[in-house]
Amino acid sequence: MRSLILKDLILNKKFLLWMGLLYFIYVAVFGSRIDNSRVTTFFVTFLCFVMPVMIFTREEKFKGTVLVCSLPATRKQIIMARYVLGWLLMLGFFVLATVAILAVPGSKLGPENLLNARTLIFALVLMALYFAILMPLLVRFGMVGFFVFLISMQVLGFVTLALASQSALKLNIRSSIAAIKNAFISLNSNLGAPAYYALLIVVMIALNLASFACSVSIFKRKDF
Amino acid sequence: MKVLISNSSPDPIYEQISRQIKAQIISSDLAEGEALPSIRKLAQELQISVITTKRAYDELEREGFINTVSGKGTYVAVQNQELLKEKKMKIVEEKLAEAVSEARILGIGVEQLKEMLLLLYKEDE
Amino acid sequence: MENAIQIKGLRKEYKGFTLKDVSFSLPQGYIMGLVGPNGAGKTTIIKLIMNLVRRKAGEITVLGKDNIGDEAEVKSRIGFVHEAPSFYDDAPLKDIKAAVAHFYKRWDDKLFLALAGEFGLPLDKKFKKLSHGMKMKFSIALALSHDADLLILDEPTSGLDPVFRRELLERLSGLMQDERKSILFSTHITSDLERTADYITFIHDGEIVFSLPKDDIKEKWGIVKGSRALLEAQYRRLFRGIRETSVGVEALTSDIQEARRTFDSDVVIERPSIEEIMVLMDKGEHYA
Repeated sequence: MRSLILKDLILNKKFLLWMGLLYFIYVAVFGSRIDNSRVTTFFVTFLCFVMPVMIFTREEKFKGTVLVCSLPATRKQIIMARYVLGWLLMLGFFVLATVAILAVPGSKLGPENLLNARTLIFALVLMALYFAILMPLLVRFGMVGFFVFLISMQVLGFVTLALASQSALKLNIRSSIAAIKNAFISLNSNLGAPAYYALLIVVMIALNLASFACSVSIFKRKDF
Repeated sequence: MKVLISNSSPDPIYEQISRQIKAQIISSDLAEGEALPSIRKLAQELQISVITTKRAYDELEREGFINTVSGKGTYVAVQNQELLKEKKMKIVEEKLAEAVSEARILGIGVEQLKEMLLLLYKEDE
Repeated sequence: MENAIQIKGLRKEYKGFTLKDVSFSLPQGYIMGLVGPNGAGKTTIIKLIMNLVRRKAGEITVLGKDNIGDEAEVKSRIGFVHEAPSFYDDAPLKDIKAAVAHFYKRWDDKLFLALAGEFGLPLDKKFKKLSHGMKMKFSIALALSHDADLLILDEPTSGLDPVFRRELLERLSGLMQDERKSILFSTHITSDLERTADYITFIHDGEIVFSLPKDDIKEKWGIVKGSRALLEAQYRRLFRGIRETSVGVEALTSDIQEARRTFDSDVVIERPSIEEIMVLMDKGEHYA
């Protein structure tokens, strides 16, 4: 598996370096202007997640997957390497982004906002969610799948907003969002912060493992 | 060792090879104990399938002309001198039989044939 | 010695094409040419061996192991050349080589560099900048640089100039000096096989027509050329394929001795080239 990860790093090294630089600048400029750590986390984690997606879609674009499948590796190992590399990239870029925001003088947020457990766990949960949901879609549908997902999320957003403007539904949606939020808050207070965070981490790990199993079974069936 | 194969000959290639090697062994052009190229080397040089060269060598080995020592190579076998003599005799006999049958057709008698034989021997001296 | 490749009852279904009941073996230490017209299924068989596509039914054993069950181990001993090699377009060759080299325990970098020099590969150039021929050469160099026990080459000579093609075939023959190595290559250029192949497997329309030692084919098969009398029913059982031209009839038989016994002097009987066999089995009517 080491070879599989090395392969992606070697073949994408220029891309990663440029992306890293652009990313650093972008986050430094825009991230420093946000004063809400929640929003920052959404913003940063989404960008982090896009990194591995771009790497994997590059492979698809260059028909590199045919090459990989001819190399000494099983289909399962190939997917495993993707998950490991994906996480390494996400975490790596997350660190990069955090450093970028903190390093910029005059950032609206400081270490106390960004480096506390709550923010970090929140970031992890978001990345885990994106990754777990998107990876099987990427494996199944490729780059197209990713765009379909993005677009349908937008569409879903619009539809929800449109429906929400209908006053009857407005209440329902508001109240269900509130209910979910309350459920989490009560869980938090019931378990106490460390246990709550631990639970979230466990769930995210389980979700990623399920996603992995799903991706493997999809990938094993693919013809090249 | 000289081997020339012809694609247009009606004889299968493995036979052409084994026949030529056999002839060279009988005529002592290939000495006892001399090393022969491996079947793969021969196949590569003649640009033919190794299955063919293997078949040729197998036949030669079966008939006692060559020996393959695994790990070392293939060598011309020690020839049984009596057997060799017999084989050489047979070749000459065949050639004489041809001459006799030709002579008969042309109406040349056995005395004339004997004279020709003596003359030919004298020429070589 | 085990078979390098052993295939039994292989089946693959596509929309317009089915590969049915394919079975053949390549004994270790020999070269097999997989021939057939375009679209016959050569690439499909190779992709199935490499597990690039999934099989519907059948077994594939490579170097004694199941090609899917022991996929990584099997592939570490295979040198593979795809019919249309594609790697990361914007990566320079030396990066691609570095990425691939990590996968093989027996990678020989000196050998690769020597081959690259011989083939004239510009290692600093990006893959997309290469001509098709150069891409093939690069792919071949990679396949030859890790002491593979089995080489699987899909149309390796396509797009190559005749000089390089000859050199490649000679190089492959040279590799065969090591009796542990085996080679399977597919081609529709039959002259590649006339000299180099030990076995020939002919595939047509998704089915194996024959898989035989090349010498058997050359010795036992024949082309009978004669008049339309050859089309008569009594002769049909002799022929595997018949082609009628405006000036006569050509018929392919797998038993040249019988043909010689059956026909007298008003036919011409010749040894067939592999190309003639392919043409007659493909375009001709099939009787036997």
